[in-house]
Amino acid sequence: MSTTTEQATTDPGPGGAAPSTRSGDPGWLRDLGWRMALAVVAATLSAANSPVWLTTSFTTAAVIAVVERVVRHRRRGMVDAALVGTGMLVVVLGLLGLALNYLPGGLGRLSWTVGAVLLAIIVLTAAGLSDEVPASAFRPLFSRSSLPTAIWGVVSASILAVALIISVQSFGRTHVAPLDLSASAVKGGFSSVTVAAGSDQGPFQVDLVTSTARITLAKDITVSSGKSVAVLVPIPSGERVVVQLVQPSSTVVLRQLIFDTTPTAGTTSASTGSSR
Amino acid sequence: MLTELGERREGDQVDAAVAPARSGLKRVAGLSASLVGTQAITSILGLAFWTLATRTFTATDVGVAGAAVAMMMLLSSLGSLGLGTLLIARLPVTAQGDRRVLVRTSLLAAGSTTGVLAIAIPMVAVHVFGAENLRPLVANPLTALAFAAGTAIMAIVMVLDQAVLTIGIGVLQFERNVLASVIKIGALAALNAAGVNGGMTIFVAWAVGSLVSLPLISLRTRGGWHLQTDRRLANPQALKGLGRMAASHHALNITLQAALQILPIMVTALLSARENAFFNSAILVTGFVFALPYAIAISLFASASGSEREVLSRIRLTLPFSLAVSVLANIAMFPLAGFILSVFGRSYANEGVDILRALVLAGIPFVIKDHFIALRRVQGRTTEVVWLFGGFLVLELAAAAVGAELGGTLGLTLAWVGVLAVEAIALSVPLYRSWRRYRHEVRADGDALATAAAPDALLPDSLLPNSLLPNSLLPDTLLPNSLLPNSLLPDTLLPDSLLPETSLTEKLLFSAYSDRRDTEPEVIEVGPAKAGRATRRKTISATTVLLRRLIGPANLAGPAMVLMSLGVLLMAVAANAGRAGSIAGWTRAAWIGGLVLIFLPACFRIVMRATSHVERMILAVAMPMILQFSRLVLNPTQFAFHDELIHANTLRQIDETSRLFTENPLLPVSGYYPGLEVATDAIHRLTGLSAFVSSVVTLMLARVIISLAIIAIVGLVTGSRRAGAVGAVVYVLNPQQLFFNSQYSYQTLALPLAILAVYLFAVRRRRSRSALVLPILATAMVTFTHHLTAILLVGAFAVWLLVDLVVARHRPAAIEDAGAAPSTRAGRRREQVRSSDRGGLLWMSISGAAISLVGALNPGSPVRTYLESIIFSSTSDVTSLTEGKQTKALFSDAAGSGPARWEQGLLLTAVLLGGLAMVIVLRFLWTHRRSPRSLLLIVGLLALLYPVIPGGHLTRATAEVGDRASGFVFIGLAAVLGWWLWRSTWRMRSLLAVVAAAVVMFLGNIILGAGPTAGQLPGPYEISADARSIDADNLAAAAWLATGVPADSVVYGDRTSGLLAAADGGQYTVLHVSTNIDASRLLLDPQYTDKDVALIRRAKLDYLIVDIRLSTGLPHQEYYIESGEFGANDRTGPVPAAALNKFASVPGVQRIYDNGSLVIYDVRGLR
Repeated sequence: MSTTTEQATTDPGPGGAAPSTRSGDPGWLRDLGWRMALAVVAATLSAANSPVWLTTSFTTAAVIAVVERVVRHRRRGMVDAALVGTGMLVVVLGLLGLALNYLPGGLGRLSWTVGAVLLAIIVLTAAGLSDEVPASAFRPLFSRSSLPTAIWGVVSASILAVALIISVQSFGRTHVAPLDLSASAVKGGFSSVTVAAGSDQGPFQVDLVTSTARITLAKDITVSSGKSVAVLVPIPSGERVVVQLVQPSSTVVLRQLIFDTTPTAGTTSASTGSSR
Repeated sequence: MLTELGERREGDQVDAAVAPARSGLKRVAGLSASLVGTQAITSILGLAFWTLATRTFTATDVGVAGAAVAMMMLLSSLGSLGLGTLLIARLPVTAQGDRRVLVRTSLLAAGSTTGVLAIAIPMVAVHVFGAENLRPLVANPLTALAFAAGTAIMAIVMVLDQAVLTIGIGVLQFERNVLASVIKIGALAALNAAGVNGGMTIFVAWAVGSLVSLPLISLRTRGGWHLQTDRRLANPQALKGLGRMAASHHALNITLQAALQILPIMVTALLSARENAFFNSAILVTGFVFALPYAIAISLFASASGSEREVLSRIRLTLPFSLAVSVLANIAMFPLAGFILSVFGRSYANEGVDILRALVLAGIPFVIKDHFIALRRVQGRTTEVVWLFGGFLVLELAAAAVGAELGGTLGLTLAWVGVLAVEAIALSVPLYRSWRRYRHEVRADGDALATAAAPDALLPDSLLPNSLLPNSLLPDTLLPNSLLPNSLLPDTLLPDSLLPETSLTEKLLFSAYSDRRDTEPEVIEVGPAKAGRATRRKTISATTVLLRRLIGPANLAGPAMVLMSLGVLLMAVAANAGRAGSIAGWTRAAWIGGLVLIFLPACFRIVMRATSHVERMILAVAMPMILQFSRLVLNPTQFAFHDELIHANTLRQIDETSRLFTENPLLPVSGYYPGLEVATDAIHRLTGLSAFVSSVVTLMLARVIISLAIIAIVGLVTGSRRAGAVGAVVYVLNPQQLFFNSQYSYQTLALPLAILAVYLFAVRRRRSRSALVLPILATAMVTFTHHLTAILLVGAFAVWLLVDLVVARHRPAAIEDAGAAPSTRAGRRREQVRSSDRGGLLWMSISGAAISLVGALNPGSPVRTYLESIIFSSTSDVTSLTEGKQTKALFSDAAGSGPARWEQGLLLTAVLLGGLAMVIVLRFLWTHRRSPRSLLLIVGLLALLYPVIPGGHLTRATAEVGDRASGFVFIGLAAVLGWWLWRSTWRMRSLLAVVAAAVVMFLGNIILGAGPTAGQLPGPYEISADARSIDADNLAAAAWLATGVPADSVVYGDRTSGLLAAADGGQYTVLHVSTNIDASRLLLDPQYTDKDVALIRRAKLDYLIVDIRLSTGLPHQEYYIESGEFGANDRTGPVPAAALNKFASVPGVQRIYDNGSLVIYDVRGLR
């Protein structure tokens, strides 16, 4: 990689970053090896379907380690390093995904991890070809004077986390699944009718209403979040029947399903396969 | 000292009584005992009053009264304007004959100001912000007037009590308080006996006590009547020029008192008056618990005689002692809380016990807080305390609001105490450091403890650490200064800020005795004209000290970020209230307040010239990031907008098939530009995070890129990264920044990458074969992400090339002189841009066009027809407009709802300000006419397109074009306004005006881009209204589709149900845009005909989703399903219910799902 540019020789960079320094040979392991190892570990954890917190932590660390090392060679200051590092990360991931699409594995977890780790090794190797190891553009961030800002940043992040938590809780409270009545496809003259809700509700009863009668199929049904009740309903052929969810000793229909298998209506819905 | 002024000494008995200062802890103990004793008497009377109230009135009445009293104390504190403090300082140096008129003028000013506040604020709270629980305060004109009068009297009493301190009758204030307390108890009993009830009755009794006690003052001071020379009722000239003197101390007073005064009001407004009854009672009890530590803190300060060393030497014992007292109080209160509260009644004991236990915990942080205040006061650093405690107050109230939202009154209390604890921890650090420094000094100087007799301490009551006293337990005046030892009162050293500006001699005398920190040699040396400047320098110095000690060296990025985060928190609270169904005034105010809290600190700090570069950069990135985060408080777990659901569907398809370019029925063209989804899939697969969380991360990355890219590009154009940061603020004014450009949509990522591509090209390494690799890669990713952005990017490179050619032809020879190497960094940067390689531009244009062409030729890509349809519809609408046919109502959506009047005003002001910015753009272009540079001209021309944004809203089709254009146009505006704002020299007043204009433009543009505030917030279901249409019912239906029917079944539904069926339910939704089949008559035509059957067969429809709520109103987004739907042209009312129910009676159709709002029909029998 070229190490001399018009900009680099005369201008430390608009961001005011520290000028690059020649630190001699820091040793392959100390400079690049650990970054590659971190990338490999992160990829391995990801491919092995490890817990999310573990894969997220390692992947984030690996990405930062690799990108930070690569963007050192831009020598245009912190803003440029952050911009190009973040932007090209997205660009490279996007184009890698495009390439993966034309490979047999497609965009699966394994192909992503293999592709990403190979890419990391390639760019690190390319960065290591230069004799120079420029100083990190982000070095000023780790000075002692940044500590107060960092502490405030943690406080700020904590407040954001609280805001998010209360929003999630509020969303959960106000998006409770309503009471619903649903039916599976009719098979062998029967359909399984399910009563479900996201909160404690009941008692209800399920009635089957035909042209001649009203039959109670189930009584004292109570449902709650995660607990639904299924009732097997006989569906007579060539007839229109209605399944109603009502409260005991009430005629007010809460929910209603219709099964119409009259001959004029054509075939019944015995098959559930998609026609597309 | 004041004695040296002579004139005050005449007849002043107090000074004669000044006892020789005792030293050490004995003096602290003596003062503490005196304070506790007098505090106890007035507190017991206060307790008796409230006990009578709780025993004779309902809990709701007591709650209303508690809120009214709290609001009275708050407003009277505000409305007293610090005049009490001022009088303490001013009266001693005022001629005896003029003192009474000065007092009367002050009383009138305080009373009238407070009266106005007391009328206006409850009205605004109830009628504007919807604080219904405060309605009893303004239930009718009589109660409103009673409240205003009572509050005004309280302000008068406050000022008067402080004024009498200077006349030497130290016990007078105590006498008046006792009299007032006794009378109000009697008045309450009398009113109750007369059968008068209601919360305001309790308040009136309180006010009567205060009113009746006033003549006592007049009577006891009658001896001075004959001395007065000015017998006018009031003389406004007497107060002239004194306003600023007391501002600092008044601000401190308000800051310290506000929390305990506002909390009862918050409980009433956010929860209920009944809840406040319990809360108020608990606060009453805590007054006793806090009294001793409080008295110790006051005494510590008072006895220190202005010596920092004395305070520090005593803190060693007073701090642990006060802490021990507080801990013991906590231990004792835990079992006794219920018993103590039973004084007020059984319900108080049951409901208030946990609140009291929690409140008592506040005593421990209060000990730290008040020791800190005592220390800072003797150090003369009150300005610091005001700023710091102002920030703390905001934190406390925000936490309390969140706590109330989550856990009611107990939650509010715990959250408040929690923040107090954090504050105490933070304050203990400087306390400890000061003490450590003191120890070092003592070691170094054996004589340190033998401090020279310092002037007596400053102790106007406004300066006392009274933050921990519940106002309702206090006597009418906030602090019983009359009960303080006389030695602490008039014979005090006044702060120079309280002295009249005209009396420089006096000022110098005082300065000579004041704390060394407050006395700068130049103040003495300069004349009167320069004194102001010197004082200002001193103020800045105090602020700097605050920053350096507590925040960091001249870097306010951290606190600003905390404020911005609090803005998000406020928005979260507003969103939660909206979700719960409340779109009341306060909800909208909180939402807007949150937005302002995010924007204002960053904007202000970034445009300030004195701000450090690092801070500016941090804020320029943090502000857009935090704004992006605010999107999550609206929809924290779910894609909610139309475009988001389209891309969520592509993301789902990639996740399920591991392949790209699958058909997305919601918008086929989007499936062929999956760059956004691929980046998200990468994060999702590599980290294991859910698809939604991965999308959030992707959007955050996009926001980082665009913020940095704007800074970098504007920096390139203007030659200043600082201007770049200002440009980043300007870019946030973009109408689409908050909603559209923060959505999970392909343009959201493509736009940042496009700016990145331009930047990479502009700063590429010249004469390098690999120079164009990065910009071409970025361009390729843009093409892979969004068709239109890619076309515009390639077009931008082509225009750049053309402009460069034209500019080169007209560029003066001198500019072309290669030998004239610029000497500055900015000059070099400009030269770098100026000498941009035309070959490179040609390469970028050709390669970009080629990549775009490849993307367009992707088999099956409908991009050409898609873009043609947009152009056609836009052209058609513009033509209609030019022919006088309005195709879109202004300030109203299709359902007839739109922004309120004030929102319209805000919007129009923002547009007007944008129009004014065009003048600056023209000036920008004019300024650079002699040395034109291509990139500079391009951004100038881009900025000139601003009128397209508001103008686009005149027609339906162009509204979207205008909205989408804003992301591009504001790049130009960011560069131009960044240049303008940075190159101009601003006075603070002008700068504030610019910041205010920016805030107005920010809020107005949000309304322009996202509609009225009520629509931005979550709330009850609305028809075809994007996020407001997504509720538990249609989410449940989509979730059932995902498991109840086979994947990729062909379904049809309204706009929202269809989107959710595909994105969440995994089905294939029929839309005209993807199938060329308009099946809308299935849902919108009340008649069931053969055409319905034909459509079902043609579309091979499996299931029909019907949201029966469609019949309840018109759609907000023009249509129920999609553009050109059945009956759209002549629609005057909602879709008939018959249309939505017609399939219930069609033979062969099964109704297989019903949740009360949505039903799903199986229509395969009709095929």
